[in-house]
Amino acid sequence: MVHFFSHGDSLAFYVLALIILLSAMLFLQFRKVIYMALAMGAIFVGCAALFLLLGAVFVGIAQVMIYAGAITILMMFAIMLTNHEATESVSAFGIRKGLAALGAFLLAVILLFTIRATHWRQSLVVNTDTQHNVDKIGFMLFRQYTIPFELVSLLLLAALVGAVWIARQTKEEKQD
Amino acid sequence: MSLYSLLHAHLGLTMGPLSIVAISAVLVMLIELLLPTRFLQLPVWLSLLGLLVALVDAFIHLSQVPQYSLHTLVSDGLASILTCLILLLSLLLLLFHVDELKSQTNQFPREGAYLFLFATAGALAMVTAVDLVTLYVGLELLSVSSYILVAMTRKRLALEGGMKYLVLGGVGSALFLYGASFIYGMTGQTNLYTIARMSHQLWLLNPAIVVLSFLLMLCGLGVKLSLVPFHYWTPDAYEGASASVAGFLASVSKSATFAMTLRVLLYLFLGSTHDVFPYVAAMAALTMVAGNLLALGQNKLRRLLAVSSVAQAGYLLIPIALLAQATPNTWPLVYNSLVFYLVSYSIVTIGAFAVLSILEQRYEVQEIADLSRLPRQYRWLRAAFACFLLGFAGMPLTSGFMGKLYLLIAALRLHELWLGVLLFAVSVISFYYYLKPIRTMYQKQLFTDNGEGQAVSRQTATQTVIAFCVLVTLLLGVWPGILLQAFSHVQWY
Repeated sequence: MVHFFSHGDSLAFYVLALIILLSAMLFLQFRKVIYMALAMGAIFVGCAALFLLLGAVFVGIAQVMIYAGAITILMMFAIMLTNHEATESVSAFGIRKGLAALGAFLLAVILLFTIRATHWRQSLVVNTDTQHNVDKIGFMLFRQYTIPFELVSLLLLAALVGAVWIARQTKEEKQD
Repeated sequence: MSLYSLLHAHLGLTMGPLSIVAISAVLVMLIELLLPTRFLQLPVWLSLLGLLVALVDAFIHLSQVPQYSLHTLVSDGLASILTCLILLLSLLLLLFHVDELKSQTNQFPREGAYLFLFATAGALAMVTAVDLVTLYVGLELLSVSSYILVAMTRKRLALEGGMKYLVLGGVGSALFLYGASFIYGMTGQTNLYTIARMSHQLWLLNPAIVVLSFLLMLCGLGVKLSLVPFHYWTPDAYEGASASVAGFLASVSKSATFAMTLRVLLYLFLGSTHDVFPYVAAMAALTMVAGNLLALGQNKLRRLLAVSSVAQAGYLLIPIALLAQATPNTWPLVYNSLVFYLVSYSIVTIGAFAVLSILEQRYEVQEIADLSRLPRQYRWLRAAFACFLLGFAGMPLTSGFMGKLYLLIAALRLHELWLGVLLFAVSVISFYYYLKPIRTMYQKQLFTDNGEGQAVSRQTATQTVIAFCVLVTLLLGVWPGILLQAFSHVQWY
């Protein structure tokens, strides 16, 4: 067990993983929607810290800004403006849930053992030079990944139209 | 990529149709914003124009030498043929969407016109790209536009179907991405060609994770293709959506996703085809059997077509399962049989949904039993619907039979006869539920209903689409060589 903690990074990883897992379990345990949104924010922040730990500074900060910042806040606004009193009813533990839990557990075990047994490509890991990191992402986006980058703009446009359309629809229905 | 190589890239050849569709989508969107509300159909006609230009462009360049540009897009046989197919199918769907806009019962908004184009652009990216990131973005573009299209009519059922499709589709995307991330983690590459060269070594070093990522990607794509354990969204989405959108999900979306599945799975797992593709065979068998059994109990026409599309997805999975035994010499057989069945199935599907849209608008037909209300004088509509249903079932003289026969031959030659035999066994079951609506349409009516149905303007565009689909279905049924001979000149990969 000792060699796990010989490195500062490993210790930080285990602490972060614990925080993320705890938040995820709390997310499932909470019955009030607003608490769930808060737990989700905690998960996002934990993941951002993981990215920072891996040296992916840009991705980490983007995660904080977009997921922990924008998405969580937006979701809390949406909840507060609509039905912030809503609670999820407690459902009984049936045979279906038991089977689902068993399936999830087996999947987790398989994933864990397979991932640990794999030889991952080492050169991918850790590049802590921040400036270089952002440069590299920029070059990748506008050289190797130009076409997907352009396609993402179409994707966002389509999603925007859809979101506006669905929001407008509910407003009109309210007037009826 | 230097400026020099950018100037020499064959961008027009590889991404010509894709960019035409994307640009016209944005243009139609801007025009639609400024247009007064009384021009209801103009956006659809403009979209049709864009698709037509793209189709002409794709068709002119069909015989050109395959090119590869920006390490992302190719114009090989699969890409060019599927590009033409997808554009043609979208054209047909938008054509009968025009008539849907006119009907009062449907209330489909104008915004749908360019969302169809966005979805088509996504489908084109899925068939032309050879890069995992681009393929994924294309898949999402198609999916997101489809979720919105399903929910776009103001009905409760549509919102329910769209919501289910959104949630399950999201799970599918996540599974696909998780599987792809393992491959990226081992190779550090997203380009399919590069990974294909490394795939054998990858299999020797880490067989467990390769199988795991194969299964995850298969399940992820399986959600989108509505393969059997993941098909729950299909009947609800098809029931809620308008007829043209349901036709879109069943034809364009399915064609693009099958082409992508073939390309991605073959290239990423090139070094381990014998070991991983038998899982696809198991899934194909499960989907065929379960899809056909589920369809037996359906009483609503929409749900019948939805569940039958699940069964058809099982048939379409057979060529991909055959890759387990195929060598590079026999790959063309796999490509031929998949694309031929895709052409035949998509055309029949669009025809069936076009007939259904007329029946729903005029007679509010929903259940199979409602078909008996059809007045005598609609001989042509009844004959067309019967033709499409028999095409689904695989009656000789229709394209469905030739498609299934070709699948059987492919299975025979690649020593997976059991799949071919199972295909014909379940097809016999399928005759039962496909013949049920035909019997209802043609049985002697106990009381004559002389009602004219809802007063609807003449649906010329829809009638044209139906006539075209009947023609293709019968033509490919008696003379499949017209397509197969063309395929024999195609350099698929």
